[in-house]
Amino acid sequence: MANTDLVLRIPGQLNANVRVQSGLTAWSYGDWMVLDSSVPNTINIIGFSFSWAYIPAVDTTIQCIFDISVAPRGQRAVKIQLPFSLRSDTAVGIYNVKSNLVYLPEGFVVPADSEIAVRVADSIVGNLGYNCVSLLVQTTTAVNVSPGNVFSNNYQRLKGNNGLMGVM
Amino acid sequence: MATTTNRYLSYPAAAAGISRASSGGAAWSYSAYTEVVPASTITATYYVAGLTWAWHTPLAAVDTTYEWIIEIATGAAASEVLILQVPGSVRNDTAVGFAPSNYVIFPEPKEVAANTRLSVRVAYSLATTSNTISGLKILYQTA
Repeated sequence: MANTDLVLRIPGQLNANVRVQSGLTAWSYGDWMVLDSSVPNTINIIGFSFSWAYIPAVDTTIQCIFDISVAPRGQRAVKIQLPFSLRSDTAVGIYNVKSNLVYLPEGFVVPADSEIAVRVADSIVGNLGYNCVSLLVQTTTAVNVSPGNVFSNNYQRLKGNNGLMGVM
Repeated sequence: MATTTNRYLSYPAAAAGISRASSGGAAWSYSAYTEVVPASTITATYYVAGLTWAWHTPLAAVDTTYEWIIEIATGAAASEVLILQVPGSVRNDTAVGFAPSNYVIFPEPKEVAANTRLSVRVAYSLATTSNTISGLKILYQTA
């Protein structure tokens, strides 16, 4: 199995709750949210995570799609699309965070100085918010994520270097 | 980890995913195929990197495991050729809660020729009752 000595970390707003909103009409996109305005060196995007903040009607499937743009600063070019869905059996229960964490089979190469932004569209009429939008990346730079920095919903956090990732 | 400069795209993208009902016949009997990617839609070589879908509701009878298999095939209608089998299962404790996305990412994306049609069919372990999975989309790589 391949392994890595690159550091795994979250770019951009390490502690912020990055929230994106869908457009008003079904399958219309909301505004772009910049996750990192200028990555300092080449990185590989290897994962994506977010948290639902919407309870669908019973026996109804809500579907959404995240677009991730990688382009020079101020420009947009969709390089990654990630679709998700959520269906309600009854209006009680929990959100399965793990299902919102996706690892790519091959890391997507982001050149240095690129801007990374994300937007979302969904099947619902109305501006829905999606919380805790995070990328997991590989990088050669020194990690500056403290042990207290939560990756997403207390599910996973990054620790140390040498590419190690702890599972809580 | 291998790296790529290919884009990761979804099909369908900003549109409803595919719904596919099971046959409603005997256990493990296959449904008909439903088209996912029409022919001549993805016009460059592409690589199927993953599959996502939503379970039906109710998820399952309480304390019962429903086992599923999802098959992805290439080729024209009535001439499908299997390229991917994705097994899944769902079990209910109580009939309350949410059914989040099921995401299967393949360790090596499966190469598909440009302009190739993809379709999906399903089978599962429960006899006679038809259930429908929805929101099915593929994740694929392309230049």
